[in-house]
Amino acid sequence: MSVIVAKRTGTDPGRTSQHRVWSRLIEALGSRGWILLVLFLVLLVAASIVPDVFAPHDHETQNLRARLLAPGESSPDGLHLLGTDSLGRDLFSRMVIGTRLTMFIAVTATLIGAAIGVLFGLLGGYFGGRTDRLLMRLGEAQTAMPMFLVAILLLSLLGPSVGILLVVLPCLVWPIFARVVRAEALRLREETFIEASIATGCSTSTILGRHLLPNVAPRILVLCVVEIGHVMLSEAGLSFLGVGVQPPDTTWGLLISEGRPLLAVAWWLTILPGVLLGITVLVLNLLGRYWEARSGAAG
Amino acid sequence: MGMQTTTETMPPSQRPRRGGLRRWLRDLRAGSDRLAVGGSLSGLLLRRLRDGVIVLLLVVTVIFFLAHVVGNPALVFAPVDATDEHIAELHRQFGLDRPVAERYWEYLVGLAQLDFGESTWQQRPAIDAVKEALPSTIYLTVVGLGAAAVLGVVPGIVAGARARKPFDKTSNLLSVAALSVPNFWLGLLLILVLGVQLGWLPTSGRFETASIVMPALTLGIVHGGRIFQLVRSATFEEMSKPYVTVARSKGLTEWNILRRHVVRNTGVTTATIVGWEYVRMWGGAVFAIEYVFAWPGVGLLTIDAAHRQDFFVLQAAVIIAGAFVIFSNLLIDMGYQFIDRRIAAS
Amino acid sequence: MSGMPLLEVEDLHVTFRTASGPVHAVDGVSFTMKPGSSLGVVGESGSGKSVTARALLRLFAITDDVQISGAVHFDGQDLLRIDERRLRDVRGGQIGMIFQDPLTSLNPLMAVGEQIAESLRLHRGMSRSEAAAEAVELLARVGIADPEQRATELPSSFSGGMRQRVMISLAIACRPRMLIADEPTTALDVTVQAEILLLLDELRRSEGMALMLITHDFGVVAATCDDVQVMYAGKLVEKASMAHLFDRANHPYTEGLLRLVPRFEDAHTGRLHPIGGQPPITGGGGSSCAFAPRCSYAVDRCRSEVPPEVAVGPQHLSACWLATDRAKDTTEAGQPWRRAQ
Repeated sequence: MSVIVAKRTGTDPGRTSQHRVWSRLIEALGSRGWILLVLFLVLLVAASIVPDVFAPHDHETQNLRARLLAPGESSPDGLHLLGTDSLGRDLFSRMVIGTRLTMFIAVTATLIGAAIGVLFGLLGGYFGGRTDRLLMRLGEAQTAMPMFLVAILLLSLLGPSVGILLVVLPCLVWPIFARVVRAEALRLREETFIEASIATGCSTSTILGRHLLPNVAPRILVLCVVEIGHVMLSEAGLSFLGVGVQPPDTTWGLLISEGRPLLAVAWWLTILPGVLLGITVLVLNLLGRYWEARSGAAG
Repeated sequence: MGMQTTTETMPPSQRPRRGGLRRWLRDLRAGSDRLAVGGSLSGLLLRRLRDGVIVLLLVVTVIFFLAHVVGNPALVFAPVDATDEHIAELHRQFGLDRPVAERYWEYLVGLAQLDFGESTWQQRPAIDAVKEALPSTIYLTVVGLGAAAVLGVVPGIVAGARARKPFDKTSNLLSVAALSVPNFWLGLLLILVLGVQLGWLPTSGRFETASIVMPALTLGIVHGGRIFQLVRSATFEEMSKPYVTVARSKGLTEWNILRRHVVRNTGVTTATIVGWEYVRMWGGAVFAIEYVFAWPGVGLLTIDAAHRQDFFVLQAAVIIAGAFVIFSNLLIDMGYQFIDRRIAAS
Repeated sequence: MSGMPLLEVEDLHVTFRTASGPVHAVDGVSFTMKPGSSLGVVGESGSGKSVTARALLRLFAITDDVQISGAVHFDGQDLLRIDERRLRDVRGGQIGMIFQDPLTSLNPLMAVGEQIAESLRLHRGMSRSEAAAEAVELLARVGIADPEQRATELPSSFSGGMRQRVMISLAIACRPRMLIADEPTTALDVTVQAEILLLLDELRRSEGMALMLITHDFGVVAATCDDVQVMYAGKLVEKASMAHLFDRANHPYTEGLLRLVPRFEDAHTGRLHPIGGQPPITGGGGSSCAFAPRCSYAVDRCRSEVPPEVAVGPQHLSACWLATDRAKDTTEAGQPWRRAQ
């Protein structure tokens, strides 16, 4: 609650206008801030499509004379903005190269998980009864299991690879989509306009496609944005533990893992890729929240 | 403004949506019908136990088929330079020359007798290795949950009560940040700052009392972030209720309203949030954090086993940890039901 | 005593700042109340009557972003400008408040006796046991049977009417000099409504409290209040004694509201008389009479100028151009009502 009581003798015009300027500025930042967030994501996508434009050095070139340079130091090859690793490779360039696979895995795995989750959620929420119970029990089974351990087991059984990651990671996210879609579908099922569609003889698939899907679509999109971030974290975790992406492929999570033994001597190798990963996930989270709030305000 | 008055006449697709977390909390409470059950407590307990067993059976089956049907353990576990005879020997050892159904049955019988096989790496029953590691993980998760509750509950209540004030905005952003950074990275950051730079705390293993501080703190920050968010929205929701305005109209201070009225009403929700967070903890963060801090728990064991291709330890760790999580989940739900019913009864 | 007003509200403005711009909920409202008097504030939802009441005690939701100007003199202090601590002494201690929905107005997890005692301990410095005993007395006072037992029960075991009685006992616990009742009977059954109104009226007389009753229902005001003021779009449009107003409503809006009260005469025709159109959401700021779009008497002037409040009779004010013209014909030129008093 914010209650401002005007001064006894009317309002002081000078103070009011100043106050207004500030609050407008803050408002503008608040309402336009999402552009910055989107811009950041656009940069990441660009970096994964044309990494060479962004990378100042070749990411594979080793230079033993330029080993473990701290951020900002230069080698004969030029400035190393974020320093170099133990083989003299430029960290910034490696992070740029790693963007592609990091983004690819996160986006693809989320989309697969979303597709499964939406399908199961719609089916369960729409048909109810036995189908619903079966699907929801499956989802619950997952939330009740230490899925991270299961993922480690699966990856080490099947051999860690990007392909297997794209099987394992969707398994971690689908129940979230299913639960949200199901709840929404259950709610919508009670709405009169769905009843009306049934009454006018629409087929089940028509009702699902025409009515339920468009109604849940905005929430699914927002959820996708947020879950991409979470999948990114899961991939990073698995890669960090050595059961995810394998060298010579590179993701941010793998970079953190590679830097870890050198934490005490070259902190940047561990910390900086984590900062980038953290900021990316934060941006996705904030954007998701912003859209969620906005769809609330705009109805 | 205009739209607020016309809500009733709008199609559902255009109705104003509420905050995401609040909705999530509601979905969690109502949608998944986990808690929306009637009947006696013991009946409920039996049903949940049965569900737990089914879930475990499902996981076990998936593991079995992946290991024995899709993959070939003999090939997976054989050394790279193994000869054909060696592989054939392993083949027999795994019993791969017999029908699948027979092997599956034997496998289940073995598991029921807590026979998880011999560890190829530690040369002892896999279950012994897990038994040794489990207490460490439980200790860490419990202390970590304590840290998370301290970091999440109190600031969450304050932020919810002072919604949209600077403290709320700052702590909210911090909690989102805590949820956004990789947990293992956060652990490494703490090692760098508190261990390497300042030298205040031990950075690995479990050799002294202080060893628990950093891993538990890392866990606490990550999970405290989520607890904060949920407690904040629960408190905020409660603060918007009419009885709070009435309490204010009685002349109570905001602090007393919070202490005497709001917290009393959000108590059960808060306890549930913290309880569920414990289960979530077992879903991931704790294992990577164990690895970072070389904490001798199930996570470190599993990852070492994965690196050494020790299938039996891996399998034992997953199944036993799974059983533990299912069991604690059950306890939490039962506790919630118990409290809820006592409140309803009084 | 009779000369000194208990409450004097001067040019009260309340503006909510929302995402879609400022909303002037209360737009220059002035009125006074004498000790022990009763005032009904009538208007449709959104007319600003509830916000006026809440503004007196600065009671808003935690998410509201509110700007208030004007002055609220109560017992020698300006309630809008005293600090939080002194305002809390007034809340519950000097001014009690009753809300619309008795179902959600009580803490569901606290025994009702405890909720009443809380106020007593705070404002009257009672010990725990004194307060508990007094709470039982108060429950008995508002007509709750077996008060000793009931005081220990949770609100969920009370019916709606009984909860409103509890609310009333809570509001009068510290013998306040004024009671604000915001739609106290709206959520109740008709028979219970009458009981609650009787109780309020009886308490006002016996305790000598001033009563400000906010309602959309003229019938409620007629039963309880000596004076009445009608609000529309954040402004006072008419103010008079109850008896006077019923006979000689001046403002077309008041006229419309009065016609809304079903009468026995209409029973055989079965006809109701709604006011056409919708009230504006945002009050104030305009350069016309806010009621003009719905008014069947509206002339060009109503759409171009805001009508001032003028005296149209003894203790009778109306903000309508028609009234102004009539006033010019009969008495002296249109006077701001405060001077008229």
